[in-house]
Amino acid sequence: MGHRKTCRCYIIPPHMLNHMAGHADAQVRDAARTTLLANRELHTQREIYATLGGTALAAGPLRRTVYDARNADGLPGARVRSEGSAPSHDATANEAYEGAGVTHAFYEKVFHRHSIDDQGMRIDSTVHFREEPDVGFDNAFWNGRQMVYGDGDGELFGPFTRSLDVIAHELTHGVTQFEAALVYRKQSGALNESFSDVFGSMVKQWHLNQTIDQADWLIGQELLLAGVTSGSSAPAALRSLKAPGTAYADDRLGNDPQPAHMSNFAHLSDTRAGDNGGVHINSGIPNHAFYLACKHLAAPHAWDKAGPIWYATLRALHPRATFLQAAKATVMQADHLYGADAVKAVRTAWQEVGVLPVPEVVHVMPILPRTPPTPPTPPSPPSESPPAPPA
Amino acid sequence: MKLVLERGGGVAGLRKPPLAVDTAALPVGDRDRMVALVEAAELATLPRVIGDAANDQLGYTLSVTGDDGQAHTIDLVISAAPPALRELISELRRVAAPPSARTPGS
Repeated sequence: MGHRKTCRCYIIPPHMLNHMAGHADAQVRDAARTTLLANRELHTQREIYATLGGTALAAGPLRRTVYDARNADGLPGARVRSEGSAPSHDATANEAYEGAGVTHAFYEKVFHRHSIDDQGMRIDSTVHFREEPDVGFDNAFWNGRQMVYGDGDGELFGPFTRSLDVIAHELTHGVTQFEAALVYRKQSGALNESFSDVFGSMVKQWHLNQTIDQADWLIGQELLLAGVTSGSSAPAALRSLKAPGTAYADDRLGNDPQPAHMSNFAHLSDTRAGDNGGVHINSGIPNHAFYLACKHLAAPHAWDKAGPIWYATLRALHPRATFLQAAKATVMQADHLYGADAVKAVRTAWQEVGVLPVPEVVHVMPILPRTPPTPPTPPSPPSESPPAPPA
Repeated sequence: MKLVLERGGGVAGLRKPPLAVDTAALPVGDRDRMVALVEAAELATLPRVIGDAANDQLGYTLSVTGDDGQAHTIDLVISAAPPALRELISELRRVAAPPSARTPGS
């Protein structure tokens, strides 16, 4: 046992790597990016990719690659499917590939966005990932560079590639990284999570061409295995935008802790164990605001009006935005995109979840008959207090 | 020595019961191995926070309290943890039981 020695041999200086990372040749560009990312002493992965946003290749064709971690934690793993190649014999790899394709198409066709960074960034996914060799991995995540999927524990969770909304959720974390770059803690972190759920659900609805009334508004329904129960008549899922707090109610999982209103905001510690201040918990509040905005905007599909308003907001917010600032930003974008009726719809949604204040009702007093005002009683002169000093 | 491992985050956002180990309650072999792993991890030399909180990545908070009362708490993501710390966490997962399953007074 003992610490592994880290070799700090950087043959190519960072400024040269940065230049190469923007090179027109894909091989040169990718090699430089890989080297920059390996240099963990220099920057975090997220910082590097955010920096490279401006130097990346202009909009190009879809470039998906799926890797297999083979039940270990090495990333990206062994390549099992590339863009345009025949389907793999591995259904999980194909789900990751197809889900990335649908999500890419959604952003391209609905928002004219060219991949994760709007510059044609390649979309890499790793399946069959595990942190511990003997323990099924109940998770999927975006590591600042790529999507990573576990196969679940086989008892409660199946492979996390099963749900298109989870794939779109992870890919949207990449989009957020290049746009608002919302800090992953407290309210800005819950907004980061919420944007991923909102666009995750919207991608699934778009793929199925569902109206807002046909949609299930659930996240991760397909990856929960049979026997997991929900807190409503809907099937069990990880989260519900329509009814936060009801997605699951199960002896083994416990109850869905998401609030739908600010009065139930969860004040959790800003630690890893506290979910960085409850970013996956309090996201229920902005999630529900999006659902209500869809209802009040009364357009058939989530992506008709609410989607563009939320997308424009994601591009305008600052990294430490609060719920209140996000709410005001959506109202501003609603006005800019669709006018007064949309403003009212979006504002009402945020009022219903307790983020925007509800204006006080002004009671009109009955007009009383006029009576001469009673002259005020003159104040009695102070007897003991000293006179006020001159100003 | 008492060790507690809490887990948070992940796309599911599930909060699982913390895993806890009191080395005094372990069989001799497990206890010696755990003490050796804690020493090898050199907790006092590690930063309070290890690794960025990447989107949906599972995060852990490890608390270790020695018999002398000295305590160390570290927030970490597994992928960024040094090998000795990862080995300690693996062993802790192997021998730990949720606190409710421990015998009273242990």
